[in-house]
Amino acid sequence: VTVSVDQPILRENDRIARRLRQQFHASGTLCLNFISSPGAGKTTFLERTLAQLPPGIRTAVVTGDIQTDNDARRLGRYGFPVQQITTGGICHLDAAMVERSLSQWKVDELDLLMIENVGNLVCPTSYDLGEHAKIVLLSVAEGDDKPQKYPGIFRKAELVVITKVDLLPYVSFSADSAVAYARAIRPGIDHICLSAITGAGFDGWMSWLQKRLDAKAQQPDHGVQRPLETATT
Amino acid sequence: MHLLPAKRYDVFPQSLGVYCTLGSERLRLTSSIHGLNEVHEAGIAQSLIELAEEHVHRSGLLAVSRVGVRVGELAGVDPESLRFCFNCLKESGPLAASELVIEWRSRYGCSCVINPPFSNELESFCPVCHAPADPPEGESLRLLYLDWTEDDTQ
Repeated sequence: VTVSVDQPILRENDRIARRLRQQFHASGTLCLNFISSPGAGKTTFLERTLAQLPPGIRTAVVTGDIQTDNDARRLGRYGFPVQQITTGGICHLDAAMVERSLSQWKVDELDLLMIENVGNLVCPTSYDLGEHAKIVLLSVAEGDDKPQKYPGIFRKAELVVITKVDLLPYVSFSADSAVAYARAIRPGIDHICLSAITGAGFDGWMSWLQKRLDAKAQQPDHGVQRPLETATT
Repeated sequence: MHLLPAKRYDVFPQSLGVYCTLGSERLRLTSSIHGLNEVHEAGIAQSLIELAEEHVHRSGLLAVSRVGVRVGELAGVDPESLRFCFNCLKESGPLAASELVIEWRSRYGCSCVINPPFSNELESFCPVCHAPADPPEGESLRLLYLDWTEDDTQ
């Protein structure tokens, strides 16, 4: 005898993520989920972002790592609230972790919430955190065929940030190839090449971010990324 | 030992074990989980078990013989790791004797045939009917069904 279920295995995570998304929607908070492999430069990228944010954008950061609060201490130097989630071995953040973390803040007083996921290009892809957009970072020190090897995250990301371009003279990385591979998986995906150390290309990222913040402020629903698979409850 | 009330399972790759928290006790379920690679699948298996148990209790079943899931290539889940973690975590309760049946879906799907034979992993049209490929099929991660025998109902 068979009982038909046909529900997402991560239904409980999806339920909490929907609750978070509703909360962000109500408060007009833009939530971005940054995903990359370890060492792609997420924390340095976020540090420069915090340093260059125009005044008046109420911002907070949640950062996830398997061990240590090193990233929270680095990000905390810029005067914005930062919370570290130390997963103790879990290779991704899930919606419940983010919800618990946010319980200490007044989300309705935030314009921008940036979530630095655990360094991993596979596991974080499966977990909806209620974000408006997933942003995947790829450093030039990695292979330009990363989109082919990890298609799942490039399917779901809205923007590819190619980091550490100051190292291009020393590595065999083709940004054109990386973008072409990403677009074969998600046609039309945006990309920005930058260096968080030298600042090259960073204006492009800050401009992208400002446009998203403006769109969020004017039209709370604008640009909200819908789950690619509609959850069945 | 009856572990059914436990709602939280912890995986500690450093100590190569899967543990279950039951009240104030932490019980070791398995002595080896093959390291970090299986942590992700352990979390997926935990979610699967919780969802399946919810349906088991709602249906009044005592034991399930098969748990059917669909896993897509883009879901980032290794089927054999998922099976391993499921078998570790189901250790007691209504799923204890169940077998995990995995229905695999390739990266792209199409309504004309299951798992179309794409020759190039970046192809975006079905090689059988030439319709646009359907990536969401490859992102599947779903509990499809629970099987049990008539004797297993209350």
